[in-house]
Amino acid sequence: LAIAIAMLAPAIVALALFKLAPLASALLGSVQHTRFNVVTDSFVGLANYATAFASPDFLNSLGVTLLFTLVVNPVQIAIALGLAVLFTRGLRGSGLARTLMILPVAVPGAVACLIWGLALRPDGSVNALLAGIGVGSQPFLTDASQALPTLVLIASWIGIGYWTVFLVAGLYEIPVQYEEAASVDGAGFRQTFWHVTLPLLRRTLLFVLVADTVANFLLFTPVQVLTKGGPNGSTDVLMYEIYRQSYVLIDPNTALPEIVLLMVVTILVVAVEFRLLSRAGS
Amino acid sequence: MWLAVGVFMVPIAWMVLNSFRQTHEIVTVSGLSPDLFIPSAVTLDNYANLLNSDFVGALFRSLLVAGVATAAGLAFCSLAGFALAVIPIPYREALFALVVISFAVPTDATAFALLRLARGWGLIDTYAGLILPVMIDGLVIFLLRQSFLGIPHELSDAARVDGASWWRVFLRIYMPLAVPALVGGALILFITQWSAYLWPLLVVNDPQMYLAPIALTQAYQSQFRTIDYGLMLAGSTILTVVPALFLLPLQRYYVQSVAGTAIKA
Repeated sequence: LAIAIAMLAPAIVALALFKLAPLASALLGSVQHTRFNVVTDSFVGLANYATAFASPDFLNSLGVTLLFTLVVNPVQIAIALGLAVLFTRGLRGSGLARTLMILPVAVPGAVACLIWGLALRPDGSVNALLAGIGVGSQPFLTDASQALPTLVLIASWIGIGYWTVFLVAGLYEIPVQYEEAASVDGAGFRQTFWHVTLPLLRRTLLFVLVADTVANFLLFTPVQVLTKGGPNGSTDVLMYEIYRQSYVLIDPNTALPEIVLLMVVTILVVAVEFRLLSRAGS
Repeated sequence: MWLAVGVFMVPIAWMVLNSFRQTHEIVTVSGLSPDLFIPSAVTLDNYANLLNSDFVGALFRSLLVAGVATAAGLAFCSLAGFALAVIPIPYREALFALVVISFAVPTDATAFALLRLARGWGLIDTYAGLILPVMIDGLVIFLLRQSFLGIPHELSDAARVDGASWWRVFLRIYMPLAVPALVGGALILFITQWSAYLWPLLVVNDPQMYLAPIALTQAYQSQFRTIDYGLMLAGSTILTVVPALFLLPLQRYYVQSVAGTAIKA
C-alpha cells in the first residue's frame, strides 16, 4: 500500500494543488468583496453573483457561447461523421486520405488562427478567390453578423479532423456482419446507415458529442487572436469575457462568479463523459 | 472523398507555399489564379529572417517545455495508471474516477482560477509555472490503465511470488508490454503541450519567456509594428512541421490511443 501511495503521489499532489485548490479558492473568492487586491468583506453571500448576472456583457457572453455551441457542435459532428463513413467504405486510397485528415491535429490552434486570420482579411486570399468566381468581397471577421459564423468555420476546420479519428475507429468496431446482413435483406445504403450503423455507433457518437461540447465551450484562442470578442460583442464567448474581466478590466468581483460557473459547467459535462467511458468499459 | 480531404488540406498548403513568398506579395494577389498558391519567386528570406529573430528562443523554450512535460507526464501517468490497475488498494475505483474526472477537466477551464494561486506560489514567468500544472493528463492515465489491465495478472502474480517488488514488476513486466500505449500517450501529451495557448499566455508576462505560439500571435496583434506576413507563415509552418514529424510516422499509435479512450475501454 505504501508503494501504491508513492506511485500515486505525483498525481494526487498535482490534483490537490492544480485542480482542487483553484476551484476552492475561486469559490471562496466569489463570495468575498475585493477592492484593489484587498479583501474588504470576507463574506458577501451571492452579491457578486447578482452583480455578474446583472452585467449586460456577461449575459451577452452567455448568449454568444450558447449560440456558438448550438451551431458548431452539430456542424462539426455531422461533417466528421460524413467523412468517417466515406473513409471506411474501402475506397481506393482511403488509408492515405485518413492520414491526411490527421494533419490538422498537428496544427497548433494559434497557428490555425493566424492562417485563417491572414487568408480572411478584406484584402486576403479568400476574397481574391471569391472575386475570381464573381462573388463580392466579404468582411468576415470585421462584421458583427459574419464574425461568429466565421468562427464556426475556423473552429470546425480545427476540430473536424480530430473527431473524424474517433468516428472512423468507432465505425471499424462495428462487425461487418451486421451491415452485410442488412444488405442481404435488401436494405439500401441509406437504410443501413440509419437503422444499423448509426444505432451501433451511438456510444462513440455520444462520447464525441460530449467531448466536442467541452472543447467548444472553452473556445478561446480564435477569439483572443482574431476578434477580441468583437465586433460589437458578437464573438464575446464566456472564456474571453472572463479573460477581459480578469486582466483587462481587472474586476475580480465580476470575474470570479463567472470563473466558478465556467468550472462547474465543465466539471458536470466531464462527469457525464466519464460515465459514458465507464459504461463503455463494462 | 478527395474533394473533402482537399478542402481540409488547402489552408495547410497555402501556409507552406506562401511561407516561401516575398512578404509584400502575400496579401496583394487578386483574382482566381495559381498565383494564390504558387509564389512567383521562391525565397527563403522569411526563414532567414526568422532565424535572426526572438522566435528562435521561443521555439527552443517550446521544445523544452513540451519535451519535459511529456517525459515527466508520461512517467507520472504510467505510475498512477499502474497503481490504479494492478496494486490492490481500497476504494480503487472511486480513486480512479476522482483522478480521471479531475484531470479530464481541461487546463483551460481551471487556468483563470489557478493563475490567482500561481502568483502567490511564485510560478509567474518560470519554467516550473509552465510545466508543473499541465504535466498530468486524465485521458493518458485512463488509457495507460486500460493497457495495464489488459496484461494477464498471472505475470505479476508469478513475479510477486518470486519476490519481485512492485517497482520491479512495473518496470520489467508492465512498461515493456505497454509500449504502444506509451507511444500513444507520449504523442497526446506532446501535441497538447505544443499547441497549448491559454495557460502559457496567462502564466508568462515577460516576452523573454514567451512560448512560440504566443510569440507569433503577439507579433500578429502588435499595434506598433507592421505585421510581417511572410515571417508569420514561416513561423506557423515550423510550428506545424514539428508535431507532424512525430505524428505522421507514429499515427497508428495515436489513433489507437485516442480512439481507445472512447471506444475500447
